[in-house]
Amino acid sequence: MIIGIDVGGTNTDAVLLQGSEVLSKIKTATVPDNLVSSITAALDHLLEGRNVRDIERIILSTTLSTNAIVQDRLEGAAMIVSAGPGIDARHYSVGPQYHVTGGSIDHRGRECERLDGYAVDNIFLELGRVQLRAIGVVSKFSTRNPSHEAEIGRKAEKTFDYVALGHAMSGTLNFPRRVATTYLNASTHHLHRSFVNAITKAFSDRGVEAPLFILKADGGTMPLDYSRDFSAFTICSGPAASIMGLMALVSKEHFIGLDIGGTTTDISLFYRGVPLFKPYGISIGNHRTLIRGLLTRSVPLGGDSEVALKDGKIAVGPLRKGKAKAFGGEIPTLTDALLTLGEGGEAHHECARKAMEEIAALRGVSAREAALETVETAAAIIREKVENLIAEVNTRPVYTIREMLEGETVSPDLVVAVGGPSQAMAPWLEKSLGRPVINPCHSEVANALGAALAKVTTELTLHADTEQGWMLIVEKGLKEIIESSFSMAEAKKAALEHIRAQSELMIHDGNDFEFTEEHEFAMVRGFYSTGRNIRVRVQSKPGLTGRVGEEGS
Amino acid sequence: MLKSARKMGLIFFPAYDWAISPTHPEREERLLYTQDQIWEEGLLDIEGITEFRPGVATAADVERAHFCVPDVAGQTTESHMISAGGAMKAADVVLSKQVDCAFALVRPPGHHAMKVVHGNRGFCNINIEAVMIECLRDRYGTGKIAIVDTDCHHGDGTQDIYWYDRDTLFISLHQDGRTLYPGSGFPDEMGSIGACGYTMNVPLPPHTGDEGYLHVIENLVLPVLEDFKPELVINSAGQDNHYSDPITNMMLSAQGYATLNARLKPDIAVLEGGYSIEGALPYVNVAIVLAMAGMDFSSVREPDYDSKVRKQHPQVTEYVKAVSEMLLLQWKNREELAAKMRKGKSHEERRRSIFYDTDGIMESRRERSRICEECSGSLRIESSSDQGNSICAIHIPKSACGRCHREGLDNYTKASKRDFDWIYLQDRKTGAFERK
Repeated sequence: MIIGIDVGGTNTDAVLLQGSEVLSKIKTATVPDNLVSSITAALDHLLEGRNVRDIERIILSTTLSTNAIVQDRLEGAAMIVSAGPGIDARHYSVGPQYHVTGGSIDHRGRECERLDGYAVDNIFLELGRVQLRAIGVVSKFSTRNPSHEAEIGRKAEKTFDYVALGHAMSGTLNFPRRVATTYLNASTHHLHRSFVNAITKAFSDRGVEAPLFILKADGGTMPLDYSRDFSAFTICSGPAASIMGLMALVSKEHFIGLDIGGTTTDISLFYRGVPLFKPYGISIGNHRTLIRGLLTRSVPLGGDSEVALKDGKIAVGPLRKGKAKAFGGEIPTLTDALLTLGEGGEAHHECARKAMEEIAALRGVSAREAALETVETAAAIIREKVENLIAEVNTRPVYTIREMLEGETVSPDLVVAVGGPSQAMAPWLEKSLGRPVINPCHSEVANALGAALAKVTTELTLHADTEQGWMLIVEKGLKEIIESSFSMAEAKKAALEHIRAQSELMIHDGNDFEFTEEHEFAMVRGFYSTGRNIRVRVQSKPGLTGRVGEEGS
Repeated sequence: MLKSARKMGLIFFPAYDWAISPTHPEREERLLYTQDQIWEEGLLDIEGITEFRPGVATAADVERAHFCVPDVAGQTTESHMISAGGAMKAADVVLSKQVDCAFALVRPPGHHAMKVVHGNRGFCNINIEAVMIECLRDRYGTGKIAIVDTDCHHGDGTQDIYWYDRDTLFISLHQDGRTLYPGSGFPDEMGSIGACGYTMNVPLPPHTGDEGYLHVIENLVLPVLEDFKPELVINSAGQDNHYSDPITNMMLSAQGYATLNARLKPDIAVLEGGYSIEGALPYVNVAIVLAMAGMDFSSVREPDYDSKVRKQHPQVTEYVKAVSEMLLLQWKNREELAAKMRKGKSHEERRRSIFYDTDGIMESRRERSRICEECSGSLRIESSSDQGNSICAIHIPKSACGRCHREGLDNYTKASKRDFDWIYLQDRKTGAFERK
C-alpha cells in the first residue's frame, strides 16, 4: 500500500492506494502553523483498521518552505558571491548579509582571477558577529569549475551550521538564478530540517518503517532524509502535486489540465503523457530560480470570482471577495451563475438565482441570460489563457536547424478538468476550447494521488573539455582527468554511472534514465582541432509509478 | 530584479548543426561560448529583454533583394533561410512595436553577398540585412533606412545591393581595403550618380581602437544620420574588429563596442562576422545587449583586457580624424559631386569583376542604370560567371517613376533567351519577381 498526503494551504488531502485502487481517502482542513499534526491526523485516519507494516512507502507534499517564502518568514542566510567582470553582482543582493568578493572563472571553467583569501577571511570575520546559521556560496560559472565555491565553502564550515554551494543546486548556467536558488536553499534549510525531524519521529512513534519521500516542484520525489540538503526543491510542490494528480487520473497522451479552484484556475499541458517543464526554473516572490518545476499558468478566475458589470458587459474576476452568495457570501460569483444554470431546487440554488438577478437587472436581461453570459465569459477567459500558453510553448526558441524545421508541436486534443466548479463548467469549456472535457473520479484528492504516485526523480549534468583534459560531474562538483580521446559515448556512460549511483542512494525500484541534452562541439583553434567540448544531461524519466482505476465522465 | 531602460528583443540562432566545413571559422562552435555567457549572465531574465524564435525566410523573401543563379534553392541551405528569417523577425518585433530595438544574433552572416548571387563570398550566400530590409519595406512601408556596417571587413555586398538606392544610406566602417579582404571600400566609392553620397566608406587604418571608432561615430556617422533622417537605423554588427580577432588587425574592445552601440542607438542590430569566439564574442555580445537595452555595461570586460588593450597610436588618431572630416565634407557636397559626374548623361554604366573567395568563382558584370531626378532609376545587369552561367537581371526600384518602370519592363521584354541562360525581373514597385 502507498500513502500520499498533500498538505495544502487550506486543505490536507490524503489517499491510501493498493495498486490502482483507492482504498481510502480523506480531505480535512489544514491546521495552520502545525503541518506535522495535519499530516499525522490524516495518516491516523488512513491507518484505521490497517496494518502499518503493509505500507510500502509514504509520500508527502507540503507548503512549508513555499509559505515561509511567500509570507516572508525566512530565517535568512548569509551569502558570499564571486562573479568577476559582467553585470554587477550587487544587483542580485538577497538576504540580510550579502557579500561580493573577487575571483573569476570564465565560460570554459578557467580561473581568470584567483580568490582573494584575505578578503574572504575578512568577510567571515564580519559574519562571525551576526546570528545566522546558514550560508550560501555562489560563483559565476561554478558549473564549469566549482573550485572557488568549494574553497569559500570550506572556510564557511567553521562559522556556519549549514553551507549551500551553488553548483550543487543545478547544472544549468544562470548566475543570478543560481544566487537566488542557493539563498532559498540555505534560508529554508533549518525550517525544513526541523520538519523532517519531527515527521520522522512522529512516524516512527506510530511504528511506520516504510520509506518516506517528499514531493518536489518538478513532480518527482526525493527521500525525506535526502531532502535535508535540498529543501529548496520542495518549493512550489503544491502545483506539481495537482499536475501529477491530473496525470494519475487519466491515461492520455496529449491534454490540457485545468484545476479550477475557488480563486484561480491553474492550466498545465501534457505532451506524450508527461507534463511540460518550465523553461528555466520556478519563480517565487521576487526570486527567479533554477529549481526545476512544472509548467503551469495561473488565471485569476475560479468559483468564487466576483461577477460584476463593467462597461455594460458582465466581467468575471480577477478579484475574489469571499464565498458565493449561494453559500452565504456577499456578492455574486461564478458559482452562483453555474448554480442558476444547473438543475435542482435546493435553497442555495434560490440564493444563487437571486444573486444573478441583481446583475441581470443592471444589464436588462433575465437571470438565466446573465448567468449564461457569466459562464461564457469565464470560459472565454480560460480559452484565451490556454491558447496563449500553447502558443508560447510552440514558439520557444530552439538552436538547431533540425529542431527549427522539424520542431514538434504541442497540440493537445483533450481537456482534463478537476476542482469544485469543473463539472458544472465542462459543457461551456467544451464549446469554448473546442475539445472534449473529462472530469475524472477522485479528483477531489487529486493532489494526494499525484504525490502518492510520483516517482523519484534526479538529474545530472556532465561537462567535458578534452582540450583541458577534464570532465566535471557538475552537481557533485566531481572533476576527473580524461584522455584527449574521450568521446560522447564515454561521456554518456560516465553520466549514467553517476546518476545510477546517485539514485541507488535514493531508492529502491530501478529507474529508467534518458538524456535530455547531448551536445558535442569540435574546438578548433587556427585551422586545427584542439579538442571536443561535450555537454550531457541525464535525468530519470518523469512519470508515475502507477495510475488510478477507471476514468470519469 | 533587473529592468531594462529600453524594451529589447533578442533573436538567438547559433545553428549548432551547420558549418561551411569542420575547421572553417563559420562552424558550429562559433556562438557556443556566447550562449554560455549570455545564459550565465542571466540576460534573458532581465525584465524588458525578450527572446524570440527566428522565422524561416522563403524564396520570395530572398528574391526581393537578390538574383540567385539559377534560383534561391540553388544558392541557399536551410541555415541561410533561418539566419535571414532571424533578421526578419528582429525587424518584425521592432516595427510591430513589441520592443524598442532588437538584436539578431544569428549565423551565417550576409554582408558580402551581392545583388547577383553565383556562390558564397566571404562566408556569405545571401545578404540577411537586405532580405530583412526589403521585407520590412513591403510589410510596413518603411522608406528611408540607414545601415551602419561596423564589421571589420568592407560590407561590399550590402554596398552593391544599395548602390543605386538613395532611400538607403549605407555607411561602412572597416579596416582599410589595402590591408584586408575584400580589398574594397574606399572613400571614392560613394554610390551611383543617381544616389551619389548614399554609400559612404570609412576605411580605418590597422590598429584603430575604441577611440578611433567612437570618433567616427560621433563626428561623422551621427551628423550624417541627423541630416539623412532615416526612419530606421540598422547596425551590421560584425565583431571582428576586436583586439583578439584572429583574422583582422583592429583593437576594439567590448567596452568600445558597447559605447558605440549606446551612441548609435540602432533600432536593429544584425550579427555579421567575428571569429574570436572565446575571447571576444561572449563579452562583446553581452555588452551589446546591455547597451541596446539602455543598461549599465561598465563592468563588462574581457578577462585579458588589462594586459592586452593598448592606447591607440597618435598617428592612427590623426588619420581617423582626417578621414572623418573629409567624408563629412564629401557628404555635404554630394549634390554638387553628382551634378559634376552626371554632365548631361541619361544613363550610367559600370563594368566589374567580382571574386567569390569561398567558392572560387569569378563573375563578370555589366550594369546600366537610368539616372532619374524622380526615383532611383531602373537597373539592368548582365552577369556571367566562369562556371558558365550567364544572366540578365532587371531591377525596378520601389520608388520607380512611371518612365523608369516602363523602361525596366521594356528591358525585360527585350532581353532574349538566345543571349542568356536566365533572365530575371525584380519589380519592387509591383512586388513581382519573374524568371524566363
